[in-house]
Amino acid sequence: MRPNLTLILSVILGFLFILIFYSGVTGLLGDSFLIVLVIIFSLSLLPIFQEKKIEEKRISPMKFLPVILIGLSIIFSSGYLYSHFPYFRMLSGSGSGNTSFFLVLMLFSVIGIMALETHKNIQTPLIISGYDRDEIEREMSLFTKSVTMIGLLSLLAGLGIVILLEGGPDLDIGLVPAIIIFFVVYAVVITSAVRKES
Amino acid sequence: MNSSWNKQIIILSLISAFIAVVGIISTQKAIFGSLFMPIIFLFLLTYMEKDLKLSLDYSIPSFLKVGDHVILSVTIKATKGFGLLNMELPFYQEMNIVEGTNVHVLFKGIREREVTMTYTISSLRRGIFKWSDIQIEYLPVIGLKRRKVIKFPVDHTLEVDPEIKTLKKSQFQLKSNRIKPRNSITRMGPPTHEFESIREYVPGDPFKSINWKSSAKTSYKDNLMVNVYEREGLKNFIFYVDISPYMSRGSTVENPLEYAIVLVLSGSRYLLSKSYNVGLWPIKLFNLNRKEFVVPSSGMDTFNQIKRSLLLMESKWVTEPFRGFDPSLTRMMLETRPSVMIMTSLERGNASRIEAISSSMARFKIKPTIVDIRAESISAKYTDPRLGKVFSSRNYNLSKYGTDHTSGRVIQWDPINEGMGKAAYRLAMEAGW
Repeated sequence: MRPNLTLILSVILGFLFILIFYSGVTGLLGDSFLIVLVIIFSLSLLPIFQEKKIEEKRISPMKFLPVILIGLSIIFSSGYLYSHFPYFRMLSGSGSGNTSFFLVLMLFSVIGIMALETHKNIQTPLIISGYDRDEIEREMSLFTKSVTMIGLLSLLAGLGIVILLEGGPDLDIGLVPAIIIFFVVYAVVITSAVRKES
Repeated sequence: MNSSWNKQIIILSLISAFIAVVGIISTQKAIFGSLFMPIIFLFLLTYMEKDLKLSLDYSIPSFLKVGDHVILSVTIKATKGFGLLNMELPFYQEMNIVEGTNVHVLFKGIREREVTMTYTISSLRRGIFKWSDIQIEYLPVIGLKRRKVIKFPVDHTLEVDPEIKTLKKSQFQLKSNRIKPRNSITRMGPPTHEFESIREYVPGDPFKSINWKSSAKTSYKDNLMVNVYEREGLKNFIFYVDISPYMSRGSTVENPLEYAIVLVLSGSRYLLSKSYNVGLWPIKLFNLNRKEFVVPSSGMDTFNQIKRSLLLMESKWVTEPFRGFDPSLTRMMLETRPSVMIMTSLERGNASRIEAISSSMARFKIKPTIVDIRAESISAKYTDPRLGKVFSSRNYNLSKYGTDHTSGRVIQWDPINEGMGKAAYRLAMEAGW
């Protein structure tokens, strides 16, 4: 995999987030969690550097693990579970807030890795089938670039929403109504994304 | 896109649901950004992939000659849509891609795309072919089930002409080892202005045809020399082409039939240039279509008709025994007593049939020239050498299969080991061109 914009941004933003996570880590459990996070994130980058010989139908689930681990660390560091099991705390109060705020960086990194992995998955069988290697490289790079652009746009939009919610006039809708609103939006978008061709 | 990408998209959407749960349990308001980011991402992809619009422009030939290299170009313009376009550009059977490829991928991203794809082809075989459709598979970035296959038909066919060897008159004139009157008893036209040869004067020759210079040079003979000019509407010549499966031994692009076609075309052009009336019939006894044969005539129109008939000629399985000629050919042989050249590849299975055809022509006082195009060398290129025994000489010994020399003159031609020019020269000698 030649270095490109998607790869650079995925790696930089992923490790930047880990740095943010590191700044908020507290206790031995937190340190251990940090090490696991670094290892898993680094391992999730590996498939995009491996040369594939055949079409790879399976996807590497490793890239989604950091998000889940970070989610777990946030759950145990603030909120309802933290109040019941304070000894599982991994992040400080401000660390938990920062990690929650900047989780978008890790999500962006995951999207980047997804695009790069798909690039590889599509490229290998097409080259074997007789397509022009340079053309596939060029077109798939355009795919990763386009996905990166949209990912960046989503990232900025996500951050914009938080800033609006935090800095804008306080609507005081509460967390639970907000989550309900989210699920309504979620249902609409997901239904639209997976609906069948009419 | 491919299934793995779509699975990842689904996992990503589940991740955002997981983040929502994390947000509820951790009561972190700041997690809202991460909550909505995958959803916004999915929404943007879904929004952009809709309404793909494609327009195509192509430059694809309608005429081609075997062996010619031609560049094909297809320009595709994609507006709207967001996904991968997997394209298969036009092709036809017996086509060889010399440079480039006819399969391409194009990613329609955020911006409008216009791409011109070119590839060079050459045709391996003569014929009239239909171009395949331009087929484009659209794989949107999101939505595995929304993939589409769009077909753009190419609205014309391709005519691939066989290669024609130019046979020069100088190769054959005055060299024939057969004493054979070229002028038909029934059809003798007026002399043209095309010089044919020089001979000694005989009483009755027009004075204007005397070649004084040549007469002066050869004065020791005490005889005048005269120029002989070619005549219009000379003898009819019919090519009778075997289309039995024995003619297709080898490959689809190289077999006795393909060589016969080139030879017939080259011979036709030569004979037409000498003002012969040239005709063509396939050895097909029943259901002969009007387009399949050409009644002997002269001129370029006849040549084009012969070419057209040859383009459509394919070998077929013939099972019926020989019981007589097609009525059109019978009439022609009765009326004009043409010279006939049978193009075949004699084998155990068709030797008796060719013999029967040849013998039947004797009724019309015609002694055909049988050109036996040997398939052994051709087949050897495409078959396992261990099968060599199948093509041993005893399999095509003509006398063994009853083709005697009274019903026709057999001329063998091994196209792999003898070029068209040399073969044509030999044939011309035998056939008295």
